[in-house]
Amino acid sequence: MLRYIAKRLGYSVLVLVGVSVIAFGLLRLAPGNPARLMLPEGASEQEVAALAEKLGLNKPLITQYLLYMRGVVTGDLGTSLFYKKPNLELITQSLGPTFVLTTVAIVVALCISIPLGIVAALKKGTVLDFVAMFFALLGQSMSPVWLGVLLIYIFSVSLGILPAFGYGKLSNLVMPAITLGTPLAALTTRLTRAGMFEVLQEDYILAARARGLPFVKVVLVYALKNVLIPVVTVVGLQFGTFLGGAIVTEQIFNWPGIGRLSVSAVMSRDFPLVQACILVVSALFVFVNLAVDIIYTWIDPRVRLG
Amino acid sequence: MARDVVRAKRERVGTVLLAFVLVFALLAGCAGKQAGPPAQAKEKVVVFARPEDVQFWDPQDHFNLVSWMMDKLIYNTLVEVTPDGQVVPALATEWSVSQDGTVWTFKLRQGVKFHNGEVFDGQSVKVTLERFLNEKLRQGPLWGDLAGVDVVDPYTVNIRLKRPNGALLTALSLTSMLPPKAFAEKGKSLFDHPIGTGPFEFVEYVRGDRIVLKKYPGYWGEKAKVDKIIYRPITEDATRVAGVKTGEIDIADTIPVDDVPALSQDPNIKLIRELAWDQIYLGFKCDKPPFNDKRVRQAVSLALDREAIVTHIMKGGRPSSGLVPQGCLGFHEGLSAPKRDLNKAKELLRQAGYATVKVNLIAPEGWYPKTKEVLEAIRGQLLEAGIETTLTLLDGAAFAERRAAGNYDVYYTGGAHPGGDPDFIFYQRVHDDAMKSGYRNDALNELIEKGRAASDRAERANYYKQAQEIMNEEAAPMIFVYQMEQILAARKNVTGFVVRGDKITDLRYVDKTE
Repeated sequence: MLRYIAKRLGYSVLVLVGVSVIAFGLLRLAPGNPARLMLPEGASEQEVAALAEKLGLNKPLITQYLLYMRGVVTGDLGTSLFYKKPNLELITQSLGPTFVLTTVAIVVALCISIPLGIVAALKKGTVLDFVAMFFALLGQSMSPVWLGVLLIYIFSVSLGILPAFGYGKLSNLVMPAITLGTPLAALTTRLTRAGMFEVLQEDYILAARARGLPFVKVVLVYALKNVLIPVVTVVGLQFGTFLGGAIVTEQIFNWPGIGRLSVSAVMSRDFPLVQACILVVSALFVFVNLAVDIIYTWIDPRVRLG
Repeated sequence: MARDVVRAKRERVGTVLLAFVLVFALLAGCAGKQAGPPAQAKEKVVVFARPEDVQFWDPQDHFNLVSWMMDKLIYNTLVEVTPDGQVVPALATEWSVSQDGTVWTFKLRQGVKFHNGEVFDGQSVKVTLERFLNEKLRQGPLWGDLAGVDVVDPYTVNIRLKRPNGALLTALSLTSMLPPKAFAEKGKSLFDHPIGTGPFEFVEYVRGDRIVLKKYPGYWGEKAKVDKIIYRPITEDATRVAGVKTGEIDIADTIPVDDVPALSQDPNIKLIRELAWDQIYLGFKCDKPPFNDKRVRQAVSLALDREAIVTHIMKGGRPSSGLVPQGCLGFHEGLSAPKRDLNKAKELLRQAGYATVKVNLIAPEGWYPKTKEVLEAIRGQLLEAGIETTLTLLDGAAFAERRAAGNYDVYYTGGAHPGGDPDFIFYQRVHDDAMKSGYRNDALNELIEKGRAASDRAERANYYKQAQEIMNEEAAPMIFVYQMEQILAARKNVTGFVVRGDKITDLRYVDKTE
């Protein structure tokens, strides 16, 4: 197992180097000079050139890239052109809120969708099943923009029981978590339902029941583990994606997360910050995937890594 | 029999799981209810929201309206320009200019203290202004003519210029005075906790979430009426509007015009609609066909239906009559926005030798409201005159690049006038031709230079009026489409704030009654 992890970590480093090269290159290819964007509209060419020089944007690309990588290795992810603060500081400040939002959204989504999916499978064909599937369809069809704003209008403007925006209290977390988690909950409900229904047909389930094991134990212990494999995959991927910043949700609810940070960095062509964000998010994604693979071995003993 | 037992058990599991689901839903709702809206504190707090965050805390190193708004609360400037164009004393009590216009003498106010106890005097002015000589700052372009600052005595300073520049007063109204000792000690890290002479002190800044300022009881002037001002950057329009409705926000800026009907029905909210000192214009590439021909440019101007755009798309604002918007120094009441005249437009094109014209129009995405709709309208209007326009909507950065390189036939953009002074835009975009239109008119440039150099504001206004007459006649290097409107929504019990055309809203004397 340890050798496997070491090997995977090695691959991860390669992946991250590749990502950094691509990010660096793509950013430089896109038209748009950060120096120009920082000065008032219509600044003269000399002013733009002077600022570009000061920011080190005129050095040859290879030099810029190597300087950047040297920094990364020593833990210095560069300084934001716009905020004039170390990127690492900006990112770590933003990761906290994103992490909180992501975790809560996923936990809430799973707490609702897995039981719902199980019940739907058990009661297949009944009203309960229909309701669950309707919810799943709705959840996957609704745009987070629409859902988020709708929630604000219902719970903040009309009912006045939740704050419309902001970050800090538990009440701030409710609507963003629901907005972010709903599409995932919808998907997981369907996966759980389909998986559970299939698994319950299996011979080993019948055998367990025949041995006299209580139904609840059969469902929750034997069947669920096998149903969870696709669910874990999806959740793992989604977690990584969400960590990259639930951009839309963060925008609507004014959540100070890494999604918002990345977007504004891109819009202002803040090269160092964008690169740093991409690198950090990619690293997180890679490690989350590694964690998911390790969790597999716990869930499904047939899986051997390495 | 066994089957019944199994079914019974299944029902039980099903019920348990369903209960599980419902409990969670309930918990989520309850968590919300308990936390609820914040309790009414004893202190008076006013919350102001706008889409942008304050990114720049160095008061000289930004060109950002939100930053200036915050600066107005934390700092003071030597003079101020009121919304109707009067220059009034602030940290300076009187001033005069030398015969040749290159030396301005300011007498400073006594008994003013910074939030950290430092005394305000000539040193502060010297240290603040000389930054422009020593550092490359974003407000640098406002101080290009600065030669130096001399402290004659603690409360008298001479500001020396390389050449006469009447726009100095406007520049001063945008330049916040720094505490010299603290700045010498801490340098730029001072701005992590800004210190000024203004009616409010800095408390905290949580990036992307809020800025908190509290009343400074030792202020030299009229004391603030509220205990705290909180600024919240909220990018999403719907969220900002919702915030005013629930009362979580007291004043919200940049309200989309489509939200106006709904908001005006709300008895707790008042809407403020005023002209902004910002206009949308079309800039021509004047050194190549077709816009090197004045007649073609005039044809475009006559083909535009500005009234229709203002009435039906923007639902507010006014058609533009010249470079200087209404409310700014140099506004020309004698000029009016060209009325649409399709026949004349077609006639001019014919005279210029074109049956039809094909042009490429570039525009920035997301910088101005309803850009797409206005562009579509313009394209339709121009087509009726025989001008075929290809619209290229670019992301902001890409647009800025192309515009700066002169890579366009015509571009769509806005121009705002901080401080209500057109000097900056006149110089940068016409005189110095930052957008590389290739247009050069010596008579026009001379008027712009005189407009800057004159010390008397009425004289400056005169030059600017003449400049606009030439620009309108020539339809170069740009023609003006419409002047924008700004819409704010405020709770009815909030008063005392002054809305300015440059969107540097003056919150110093905001008040909230219960």
